[in-house]
Amino acid sequence: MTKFRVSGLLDRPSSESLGMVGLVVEPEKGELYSAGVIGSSRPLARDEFADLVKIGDAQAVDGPVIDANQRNCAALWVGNDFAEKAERLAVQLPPLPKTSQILGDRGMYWVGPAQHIWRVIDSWIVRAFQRAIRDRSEELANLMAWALPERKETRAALWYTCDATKRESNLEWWVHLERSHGIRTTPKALVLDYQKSIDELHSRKSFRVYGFGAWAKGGDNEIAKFVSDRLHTPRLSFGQFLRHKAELGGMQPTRRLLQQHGQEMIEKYGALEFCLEVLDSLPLDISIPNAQFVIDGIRHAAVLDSLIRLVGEDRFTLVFIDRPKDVRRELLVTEEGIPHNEVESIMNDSTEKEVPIIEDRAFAHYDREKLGIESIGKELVLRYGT
Amino acid sequence: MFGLGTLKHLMRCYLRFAWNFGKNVRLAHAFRSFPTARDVDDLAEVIGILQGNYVLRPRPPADPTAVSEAETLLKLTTSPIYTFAGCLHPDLGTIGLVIHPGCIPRCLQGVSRCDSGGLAAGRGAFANLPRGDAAAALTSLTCNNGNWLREFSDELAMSYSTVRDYISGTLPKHDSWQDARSFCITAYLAASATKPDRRLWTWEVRLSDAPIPAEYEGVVLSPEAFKKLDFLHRSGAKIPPHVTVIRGAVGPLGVHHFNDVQTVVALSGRRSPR
Repeated sequence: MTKFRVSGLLDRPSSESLGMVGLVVEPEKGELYSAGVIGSSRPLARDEFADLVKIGDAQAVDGPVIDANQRNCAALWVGNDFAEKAERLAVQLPPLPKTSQILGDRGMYWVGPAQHIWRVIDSWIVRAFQRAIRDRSEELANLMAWALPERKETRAALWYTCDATKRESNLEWWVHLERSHGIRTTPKALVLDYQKSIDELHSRKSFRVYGFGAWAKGGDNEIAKFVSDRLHTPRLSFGQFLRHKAELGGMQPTRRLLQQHGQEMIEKYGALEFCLEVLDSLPLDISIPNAQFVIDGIRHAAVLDSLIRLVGEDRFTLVFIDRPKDVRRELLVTEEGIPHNEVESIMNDSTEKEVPIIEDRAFAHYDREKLGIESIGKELVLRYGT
Repeated sequence: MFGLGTLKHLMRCYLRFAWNFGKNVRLAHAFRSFPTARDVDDLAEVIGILQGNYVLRPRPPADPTAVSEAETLLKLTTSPIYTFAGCLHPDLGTIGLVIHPGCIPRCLQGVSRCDSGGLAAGRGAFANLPRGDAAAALTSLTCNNGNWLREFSDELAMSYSTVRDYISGTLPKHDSWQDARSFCITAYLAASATKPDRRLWTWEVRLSDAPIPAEYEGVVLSPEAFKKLDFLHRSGAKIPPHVTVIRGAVGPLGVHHFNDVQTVVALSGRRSPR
């Protein structure tokens, strides 16, 4: 498998900014290429790259190595000032994988598939919009402009939270920008559009996103399936994702193999990337904070943190499904054919180590043996819209 | 009866006469801030230039050796402001200025049919040219100032289907050129499957003086550069209303550095609705 080293970041992101930037990549032996840039992903002469660095339109980095068969990659840039303000205004970003790197005193970047980076930025904007409108926070609206200034949510938030003088001035500016891109509009038309977005936000009913965690053979996936069937929402599953990936690779998806692959995903790509791979099943035109789904197989704290930050802490609801150890042990043998002498190592695998943390942080706990699938499922369905 | 070749030639002559092919093409200048510029300093300077508070000045070039060689060959005593006709180079840059050609009668220092620095120093595909031939090649590719627009128009009409093809960087039909550019393009394509750097054939227009504020028609920005301009404008540093602001964007497929469609529209001299 060919590998590329990331040698540069394109553009000149600020410490105030959250954004996506293109890359300069270098195969093991050969030319430089630009990547993640639509229409300009091409070979790049070394002196051209040196010119860009010299004039400040690119930064040379000693970046990570990425696989050649990875999707179109770009970098998520998180400026230090942006991260600090987002934290203070309670719209935090998901924790970046340990493959992310610090760049000087300005910020850090994470290299991943462009689609995933887009998902992170898009999720942040939607959550920030919800909070900026709810709290009438001009400061948060201004921070949104350092992520996606042209997004309707950003402009609607700025319009909603600022005073009358700034409103008029901002509207004139946005009309100017739209017309620069060939779109005829007026301040009045923009106001109607922004008011409509805000009205829709106020009137939208909020539904929970249930996330399920459990020990091996804890039974969270059957309950997740029951809930998703009753609510007619998609069911996503870390376990099913790994199973599907193993089958595509021509491997038998045994428990042992899935545990191994799951741990590798976390260690090699990080929890955020793992989450985004599973969330890829959601339609791209629906932002994660607005999506309805259930997700099971949560076993790592970083995965939980990523899901909470992508979905929104007011919607994401972690449910822990418990089951006695001896029952789970028996099920591993009878249902999965695990030899008796391997059961303990399965139950003590590294992917089970953080399950107590998941249990501790859960909003609700249910005993699978005492209550049964239907009883637990029905209660969760009842609480869905609260 | 006329043959097909003659008819085509007559049609081209008519088109050149009727439409003066390429006369509306704008000049484009890749703005370079000082390397020490932090955060919004570079965009603040751009706004100052657009407002008329500052004047656009030549900056130390990224490749001083190449530029110095060219300026020596061209016998320039002061460094000009470099622009390209209809091309914003580099395409991975962050800030570009679109300039109305009305500044040319007042500001023109000289015009060459390619990147003069690249030719003089043998950069990129120009490396195919023997170094000893560079001086003569640059001289023959540099236009008499008074006639350059006619020569530009003729070349566009002969070598491209549309002006937009030139602006978009399409490889030209160069067989009839019979100059160092054609030689280098042919040599490059014989050795590589990729397209050569368009500065091989993009016209370089050198200005001895800066445009006046009314002549700056547009500013073209990468996504990160646009955020800074947006912040500064909303903080009170206003962009003049006649200046088109063309911005890149990000999405699930990656980064549009510059908005390609709108940039081509702007460089072709067509106006967005106002």
